Amino acid sequence: MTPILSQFSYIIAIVVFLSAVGFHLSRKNINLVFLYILQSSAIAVLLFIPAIQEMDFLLLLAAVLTLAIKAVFAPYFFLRLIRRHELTFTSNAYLSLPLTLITLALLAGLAYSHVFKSFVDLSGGNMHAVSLAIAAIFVSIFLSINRRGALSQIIGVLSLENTIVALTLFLGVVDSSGLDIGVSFDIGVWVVIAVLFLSMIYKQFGSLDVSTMKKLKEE
Amino acid sequence: MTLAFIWTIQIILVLGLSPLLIGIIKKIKARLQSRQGINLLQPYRDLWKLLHKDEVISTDASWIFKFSPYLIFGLTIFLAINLPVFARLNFPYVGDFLLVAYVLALGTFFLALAGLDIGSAFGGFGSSREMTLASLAEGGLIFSFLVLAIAAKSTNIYAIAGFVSQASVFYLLPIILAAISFVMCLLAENSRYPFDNPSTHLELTMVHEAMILEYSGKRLALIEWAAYNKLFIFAALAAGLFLPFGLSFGAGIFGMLIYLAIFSLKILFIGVLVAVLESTLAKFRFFRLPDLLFTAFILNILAIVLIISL
Amino acid sequence: MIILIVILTLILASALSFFLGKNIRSLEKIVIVSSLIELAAAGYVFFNFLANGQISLAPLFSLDALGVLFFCLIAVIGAAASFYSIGYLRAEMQKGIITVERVNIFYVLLHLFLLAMFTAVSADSPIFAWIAIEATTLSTAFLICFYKKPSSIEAAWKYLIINSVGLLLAFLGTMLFIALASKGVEAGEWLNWQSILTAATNFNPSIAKVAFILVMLGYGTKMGLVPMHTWLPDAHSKAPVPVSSLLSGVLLSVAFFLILRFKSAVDLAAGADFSQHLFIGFGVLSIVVSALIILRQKNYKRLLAYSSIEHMGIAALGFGFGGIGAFAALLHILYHGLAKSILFLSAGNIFLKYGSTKIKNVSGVLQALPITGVLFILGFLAIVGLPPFGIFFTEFYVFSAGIKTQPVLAGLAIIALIFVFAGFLKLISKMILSKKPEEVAVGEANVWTYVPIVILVIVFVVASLFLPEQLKTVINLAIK
Repeated sequence: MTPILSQFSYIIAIVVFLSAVGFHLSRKNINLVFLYILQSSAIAVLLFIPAIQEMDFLLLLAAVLTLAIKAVFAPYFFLRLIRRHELTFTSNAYLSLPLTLITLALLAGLAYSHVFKSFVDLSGGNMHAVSLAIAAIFVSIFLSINRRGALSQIIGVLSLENTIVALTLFLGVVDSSGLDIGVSFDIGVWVVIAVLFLSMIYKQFGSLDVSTMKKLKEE
Repeated sequence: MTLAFIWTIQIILVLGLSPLLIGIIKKIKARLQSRQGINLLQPYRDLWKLLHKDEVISTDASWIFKFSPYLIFGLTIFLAINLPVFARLNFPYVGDFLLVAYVLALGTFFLALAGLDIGSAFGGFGSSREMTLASLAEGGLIFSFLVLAIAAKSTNIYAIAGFVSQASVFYLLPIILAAISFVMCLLAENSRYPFDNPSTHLELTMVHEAMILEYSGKRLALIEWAAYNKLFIFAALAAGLFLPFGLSFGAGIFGMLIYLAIFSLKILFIGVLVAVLESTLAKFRFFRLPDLLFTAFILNILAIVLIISL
Repeated sequence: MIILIVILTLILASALSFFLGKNIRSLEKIVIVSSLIELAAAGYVFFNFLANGQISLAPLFSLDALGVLFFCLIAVIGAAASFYSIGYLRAEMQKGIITVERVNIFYVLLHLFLLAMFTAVSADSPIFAWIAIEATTLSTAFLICFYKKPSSIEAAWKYLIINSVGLLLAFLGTMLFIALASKGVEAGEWLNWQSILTAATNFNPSIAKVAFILVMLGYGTKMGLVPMHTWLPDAHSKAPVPVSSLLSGVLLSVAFFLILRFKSAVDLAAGADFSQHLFIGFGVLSIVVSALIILRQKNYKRLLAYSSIEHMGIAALGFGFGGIGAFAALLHILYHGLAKSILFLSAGNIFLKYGSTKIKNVSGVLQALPITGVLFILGFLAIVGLPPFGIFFTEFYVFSAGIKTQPVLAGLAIIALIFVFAGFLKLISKMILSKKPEEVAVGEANVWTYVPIVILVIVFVVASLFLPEQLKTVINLAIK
């Protein structure tokens, strides 16, 4: 891993991590979508590098497909949904903003602690990027748990997928293009289904706030 | 280059250029609001006007009221010699950031006392609001310096500036987080949007303006000038600590001039940044401000976690 | 070759169902034909495997002993559920609960669901298997909210989110295993299960452990292990009954199948103790928690769902104890699939008759639905583990394997099973053996709703009493 590549990986990891933290801080749904576009573009850049280095057509196709599905197709669906139902503001989180931020700091500390030192050994030259990606994974999982809005939970899951892909790329996993294409299609179908669900939920319950869905509590 | 010569230059720089910086910020804000805006040199004329006016002092005023403006102004002069304007030159006596942070706090303290001194209601609530914001912003400010200090292993501003200019790219994320937090504290301490409106006429929305409501004439001029200096000092700190470019010129006259030019450009950039931020953000309601300042604090903690594990 | 036939059949069935729209008769014919093809293929695969060993269609598909077992499980229960759904949907259309378009969507998604499960067990690459499992989540999400009621939409949403997060964790674990295995291999090679196993001895143990924990958490969410089970009772109780039986009986087992694949790898890398302790821990937790909740259940479909969690716990426990316990656990999975389907499909008949899933609204099933009542009682006896049904033997072997090594935990599990028995007995006495209310008519809905269950019962009883030699051989091969 040349020094330039590891520094570049680190910068991409910074973008991914800051987008994940930014999801927590944003109060409007449109900001969530734009941050997701930013994060997906960073991941796509990471995929383009080996494709261009090795001039492999299939890898290039996989990278372009990832970019198309994650940065164009999915946000288009979300924006259409937001505009149709006029869902400007996300719902609140269960924890208030200061507590959320403290939790994020603790999660970042966990990712950098000795618990995950073994990952760093596996990575070779990319150690900072790997630890930052692990921190971003925790932040994304926390986003799904903490937020009440259904759209925020979806973005949390998609962000989790982005950060996991980032982690595996930083760990130097040999990337076969068929794998990438399969996973991208998978995410595409997932987004379509999730958006359909969002429409259904909004029509049934009148808002995307998950805490209004209390019908299952008849135990 | 003797020490006294450098210090004189820095003092003249701060005192002379700070009204210009304020003028530029006001002009940019006005242009963004599709107005013509004031003349760039208008703040100088305002200070000149105030210095030549009569003063009216309440009979309830004590020595604090009469003495504070001189003290606050003097503190800004003291801070001017602490700035990393010519960061290449290492000064032995000054430049510790804790000293800078607490001198700033001392100034705020006396300003708040002066607001309380007359006994008017507006001064009272202005001081209480200012103290709330200052106490929370202090955490953000000091920890923002602390991030860089831990990385550079020194609390001297010049050493920190030297370190940041050649830090590896792996320090980029903590420095970005510390810079975001520093900008938030800059806006808080200098009574800019979204924390305070520096040109409001409505007493209920005032923080800084409420404290100085009773001042007039010479003392008001000194306090206004001190406020301009404070913004310039913060901008110079940001320029020196977070934008440490162009430090590779020699210590001769020619090198110093080039460095002054680069420094002015950096200050200008920060001024534009402040103006744009002010124009795009609305003033928050007061109860939301502690959350904002706490965010700044936590971003610093996050940056410290990242630095420690590097 | 045969695998490809099954896959193509299902793709064709799904596409045809989509295009045939309103024609119910053709939809049903497609279902019947594809189920028969699946059953034939399963039989062929089984005997072919006994004769020739591993079946493989490189580079995408391959079936070893474990795969063959699960392939047959999916085929048998899939066929039964498909046949049953013909009758069930006919009855619901008669009552006006659903429309023709909904029936169409049901069949299309059902075929896709079965396709995904077949792909998952016959996939040769861990990533391909992951994509297949993700496809099962996607295809069942709409099946769960089939009735479009608020509670089912909420159940489906919980299912979607929790399972997606879990599967992403499993994805990370899978990628870690691939990262470990590709240390000595050139770029571009398509890693399959076999190459992971051969490289397993060189894995860094601590990373292999972390990867296995991730896989356990991820696929364990899909399998319903406590504490990742929170979606299961809601999803399984709100889904239409044939889908519930497939989810409970088959999908949970398929998720367990994938965990077992990774277990072989991590055992080579970090020693068998690590995975065994994990299995025992999750297993006991699942059994105890579900047993306690079963006692207080007021909804019979939820009770059956919790019972699935409990049985998955027993299977995990079996593998945790090892030895004869592993053999018993695999057999248990097969028996549980059959018995749970019997119960769920009978419960479907009860729902058709009484219109409610709450226990207090149902009584006198034995008088109102004689055949279903008997079938339900048989299913109850089977699932609770009474002799001479097969589950008694498998549970007995699992616990005897465990009593020597972990007496306290085994004892705890046995006590939990007693609670389960009590809970089920309460259910039976309230619903089946009680007196029938006046306004409920006597008689089954139509013949399709009980014949499949009867066939399942027959298969189950036969398999319990006469365990065929071939089956034993295959199972022993499966426990590497």
